[in-house]
Amino acid sequence: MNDHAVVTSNVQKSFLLGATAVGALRGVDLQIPRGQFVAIMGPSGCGKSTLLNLLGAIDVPSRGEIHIDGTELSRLSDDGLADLRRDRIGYVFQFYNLIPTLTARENIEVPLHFAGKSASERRERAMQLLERVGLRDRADHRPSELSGGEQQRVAIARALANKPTLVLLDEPTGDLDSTTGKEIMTLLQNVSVEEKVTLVVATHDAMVASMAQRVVKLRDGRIESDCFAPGGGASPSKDSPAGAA
Amino acid sequence: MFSTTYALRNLGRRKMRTAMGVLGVFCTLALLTAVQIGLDAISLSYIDLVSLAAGKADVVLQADEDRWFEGEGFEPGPIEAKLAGDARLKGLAPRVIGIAPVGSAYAVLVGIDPAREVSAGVDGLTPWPRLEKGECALSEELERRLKKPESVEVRGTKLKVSGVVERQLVFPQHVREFIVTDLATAQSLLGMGTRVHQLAGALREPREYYDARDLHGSVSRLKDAGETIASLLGRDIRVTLPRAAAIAAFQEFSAPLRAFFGIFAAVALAITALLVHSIVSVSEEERIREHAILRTVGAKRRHIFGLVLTESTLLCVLGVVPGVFAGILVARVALWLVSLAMKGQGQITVELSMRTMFMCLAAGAAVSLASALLPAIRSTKRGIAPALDPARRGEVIEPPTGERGFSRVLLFIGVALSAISMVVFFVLPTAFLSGDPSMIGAVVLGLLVLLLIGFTMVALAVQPLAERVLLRLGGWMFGKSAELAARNLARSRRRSTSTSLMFALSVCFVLFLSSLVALFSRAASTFIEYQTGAEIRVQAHGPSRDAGAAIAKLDGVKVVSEIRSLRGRTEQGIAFDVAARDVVGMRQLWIVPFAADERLEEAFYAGRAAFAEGDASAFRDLHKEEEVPAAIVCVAAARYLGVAKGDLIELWFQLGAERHIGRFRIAAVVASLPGFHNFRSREGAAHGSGILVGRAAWDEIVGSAPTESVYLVRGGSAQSIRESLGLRFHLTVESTEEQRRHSEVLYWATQVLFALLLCVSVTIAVFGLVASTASGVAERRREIAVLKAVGLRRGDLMRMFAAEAVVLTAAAGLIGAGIGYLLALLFVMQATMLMEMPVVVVVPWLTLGATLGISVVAGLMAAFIATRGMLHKPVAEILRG
Repeated sequence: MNDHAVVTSNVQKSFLLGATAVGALRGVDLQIPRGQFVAIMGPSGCGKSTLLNLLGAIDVPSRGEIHIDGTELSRLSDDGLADLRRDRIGYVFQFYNLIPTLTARENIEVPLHFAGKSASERRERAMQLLERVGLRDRADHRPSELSGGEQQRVAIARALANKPTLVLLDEPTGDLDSTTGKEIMTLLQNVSVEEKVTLVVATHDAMVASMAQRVVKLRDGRIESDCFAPGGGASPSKDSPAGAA
Repeated sequence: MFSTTYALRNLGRRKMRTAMGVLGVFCTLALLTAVQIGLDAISLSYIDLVSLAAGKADVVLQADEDRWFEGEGFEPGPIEAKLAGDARLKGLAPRVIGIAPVGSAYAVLVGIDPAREVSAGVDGLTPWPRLEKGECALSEELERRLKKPESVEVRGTKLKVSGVVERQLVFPQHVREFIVTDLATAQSLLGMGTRVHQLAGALREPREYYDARDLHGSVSRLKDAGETIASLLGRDIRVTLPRAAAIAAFQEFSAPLRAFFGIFAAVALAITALLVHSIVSVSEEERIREHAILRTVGAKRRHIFGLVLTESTLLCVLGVVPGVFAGILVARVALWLVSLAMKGQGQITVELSMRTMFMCLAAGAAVSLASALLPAIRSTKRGIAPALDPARRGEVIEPPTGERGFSRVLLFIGVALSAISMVVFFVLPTAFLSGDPSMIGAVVLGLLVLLLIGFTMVALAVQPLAERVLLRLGGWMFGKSAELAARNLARSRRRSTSTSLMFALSVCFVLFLSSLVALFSRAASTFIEYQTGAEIRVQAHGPSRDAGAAIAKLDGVKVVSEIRSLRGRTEQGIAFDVAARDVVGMRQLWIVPFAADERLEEAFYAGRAAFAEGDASAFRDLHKEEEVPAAIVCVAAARYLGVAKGDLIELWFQLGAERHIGRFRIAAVVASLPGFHNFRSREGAAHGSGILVGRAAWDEIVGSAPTESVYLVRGGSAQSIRESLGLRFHLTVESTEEQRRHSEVLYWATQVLFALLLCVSVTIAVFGLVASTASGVAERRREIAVLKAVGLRRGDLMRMFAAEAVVLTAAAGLIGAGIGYLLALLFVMQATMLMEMPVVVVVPWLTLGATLGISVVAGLMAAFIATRGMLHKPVAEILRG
C-alpha cells in the first residue's frame, strides 16, 4: 500500500438531497501508484467529482475505505483530515475557487499560513510558485483582475504550495478555451514530473485524457474501464517555462 | 495577521452593510457611555450638591423633644464639654432658630455665633453677613416683602438691616423668609436665656466618610459616627445627620434609576447584538464557499470559527472605540449645559473613571462575541463538499431531531424559562415577607422578563401571519409585486426573523416605557386626587385651633373642612390605642379614627368616594343627633369584623388607664375615600385602617386626648396659605393643581426622553434592516437580473423590495408595540391593584402612530438604499457581478 498514493476499496457514496437519495458511487476499487498521472472520465453525473472529493478528504464515503499515502482516512480525526489536506493534497477546482479579496500571492500563501510558515517563508515560496507558473508580475493582482487561465495558474500554484504528494484536479480546463487549457495541462504535466506529484484529473476533455498515463472511465458510479493511455508521457514540454529553462 | 487581513477586506467588500453595523454599535455605545458618565458625575457631585438640600452641617444636635422652629432648647455647655476632645468634629456652633413676627410677616429667626460658625466649618450663609450687636440680615424674599427696609422691629426690638442673604445652608430650603442676628440677640428675642436650639458641627476629615463611588459605605460610616456621638450624649439629645439622610434618600432615588439604566443598557445592547448577529450571519452565509475553500487548503474548523469571530470583533471595535469617545464628549457637553442651568449653585464634577471606560469597552466586546457565536458555530458545521457544490446545498447532513433524541431549541427555551422561574420561586416568598421594595421590584422584574420572553416567542410564531394579513390589507399598494414579495418573505424566513426580532424589541421597549408613563400619569392624576382629597390639603404639625379660621379668611377660599385624628402619644408620653369591635366581642382590630365636620362633603372630592354600601348621604348622617351616632367604615374593616351597613360597632379608646367606649351605627361602607389613605379594601390590610365619625361624637369620646388636624380646602391658593400662615401655624400645604402640573411636566419630559429613545433604538434597528436588505439584494442579484430579463420593470422591482421591507417592519413594529403596551398595562394594573385604585386605560396614540409611521418609513428607506444601485444596472452587468 505504501507504493501507492491512492488506494480505494469498495468506496460507495450516496447522499440525501431533500427527500431524494442519490447514489453517486456504488463500489469503486482503485489503486494509483505514486507519480502517476491519471485521468478520470465519464459522462455528467457518473461520480467523477464525488470520487475526487472523497480522495481529497473533503467528503466522507458512505462505505468503503480510502488510503492516501498509506493513511486510512476514516481513522483520522477532523483535524487530522485538515492536516492531510494541508500537507499532502492539493486541490484545483474547475472554477478556480480563489479567495476574491486576496491577491494572487496571498491566495498562494493561505495554505502556507495554515502550515505555520513565517511571513518571509510564505512570501518566498509564493513568489517561487508564481515564477513557476509565469505570473510573477501579477502577484499583487486580485482574481477579478486576472484572466481565466491566469486564475487557474494561481490555483495550481496554491495547490502546490505545501509540496503535496497528490494533486487532484476537477475539470481544470472546463472553464478555459482550448489553447489556454492545453497550456495549463502542459504546465501540470511538467510540474508533476519535476515535483514527483501524483496527478488525478477528473475531466470530459479528451485532450486532457490524452496527456494522462492512465484513463479510468466511470459510469453510473462504477469503474467501467481502466487502462493505460498509449501515448501518455511524463516529459516536460519544451513550451513550458520549465522546459524552456 | 491573515485573519485580520481577511476580515478587514471582507468588511470592506460590503461597505454599506459594514457602515450600518458600525454606526449601530457606535450609537449604542455612545449613548450608554454618555449616560453612565452622567450618572457617575451626578454621584460624584452629589456630595457637594447634597449641601443644597441638607445644609453644611454634618452633625446637628437638638433636644430630643424639639422640632424645627419650635422647642425649649437646651444648655449647650455640658454637651460641648462632653464633645470637647472629640477628634471627629472640627467644632460645634450654637444656633437659635424660631419663628417670630417681623413687621407684617412671620419669618424664621436665626441666631448664630459667626466666629464659631466659621471655625466649626458650618458657615452656610452667602454672602456672609456682618452681625454687630443690634444688626440683622434679611433673606432676599423677606427684604422684598418688607420693601427693603433699613431697619425692622422684632418683638419690640429694633434691628438695623446690615445685609441681605442670598443663600442659606442652615435649615430646609423651602424656608425663604428668614432674619439672621447674632446669638445673644436671638436668645433675647425668643426668651431662650442661655439655651440654644442646635449645636451644628462639621467633620474634621470628610474624605474619611464621604466616598461618591460608595454611597452606601458613606452612609454607614456617617451613621457609625453619629451613633457613637449619640451614645456619649445620652437620651436627652437627638443627633441627626442631615447630609447622610440626604445621601440615603438619593441612594433610594438613584438605585431604581441605575436599575432602570441597567435594563435600558441591557435592551440597547441586546438590540445591537441582534444587529451585529444579523450582519455576521449574512456575511457567513455569503462566505460558505470561501470557508469551504479554506478548509480544502488546510484550515481547520477552529480557524473558520476564528475568522467569523474576528470579523465580528473588528466590526464592533470600529464602532465601540469611537462610540465610547463620542459618549465621553456628549457627556461633557451635556453636563456643562446642566452646570450652566444650575447657575452656579453647585458644580457637576466630570471624572472619567477607568472602571466606566472598561465597562463600556467590555460591553462592546461582549456584544461582538455573543452576537457572532451562533454564526461562527454554524460556519464550522458545514461539510466541505456540500458547501462547495450549490447543487448539494440542500443535502441533509444532520439526522432529524427524532433520531438525535431531543430538540435543542426546546431544551434551551425550557432551561431558560425554568431557570428564571426557579429564581422567582425562591426569591418571591422572601421578598414579600421582608417587604424590601428592591427585592420585590426584582421579583416583579423577573416576572416581566418571563412575560416578555413568552410574548416574544408568540410574536415570532405569529410574525408570518401578521405579514400575510398586512400584505392582504395593503398589498394593493404594491401592485403585482406584492405576490413576489410574499414568496420572498417566506423564503428568507431565517434571516428576516432576526431582523424583525431586532425591530420588534426596539419598538417594544420604547412602547413599554411610553405606555407605562402614559398609564401611570393618568393613574397619577387620580392618585393625586385620592392623596390630597381636596383642591388644597393643609397638614398642621402642632396645635392649630385657629388655623382653620385663619385659612377661611384668605382670599378665594370657599370652604374649609377640618379632619381631626389622634396623635400617637400625649405630651406626657402616654400612648393610646383605638380598637373597633363588633358588639358581641367576637372580632376586634386596631383602627385609626377620624372626625369630620359638616363641611367635609363640600370641601373634598366627594364624587371620588367609592361606596361598597350606602351613598353620599352617609356624610350628612354623621352629624345627625341620634342615640347611636353614625360612622363610615372601610371595606377592609367591615369584612374583618363581619359587619355591614346598618350594623353596630364599638370603638374602644384606651388612653393610658382610661377607657372610653363609643357605639356607632354603620351608615356606609367605602372601598376608598379621597384624602384618607387608610380606607382600604383588602381584608389583609384591615389593621390600621380608618373609620370616620362626626365631630360631636368624637368630642364626647376623645375628650382631652391630643389631636392633629388636616384642613381640606376648596378655593383659594396654596401659595398664599403657605406664605401667610405656613410658618405661623407650622403647616404643610399640598395642592392638587400644583401636583398635577408637576406630574404633567414630568409626563412631557419623559415623553420627550422616550421619543429620543425611540429614535435611537429604531435608528439602530434601521441600520440592521438596511444591512440585511442590502445583503439580500446582493444575494439575489441573479434573480433580479432574470426578473428584469423577463420584463419586470424597475418600478415593479423597487415595489417588490419595498413591499418586503415595509411589511416586515410594519408587522414587527405592530407586534412589538402590542407586546410593549400589554406589558405596561399588566404592570400598571398590578400597581394600581396594590394601591387600590381604578385603572384608567389609555393608549399612547401619538407614540404608537409615530412608531408605525417610523416602521413604514424605515422599510421604505431600507428598500430604497439597498436597491438604488442594482436596479439601474443593465441585466448583463448584474449577471457578471
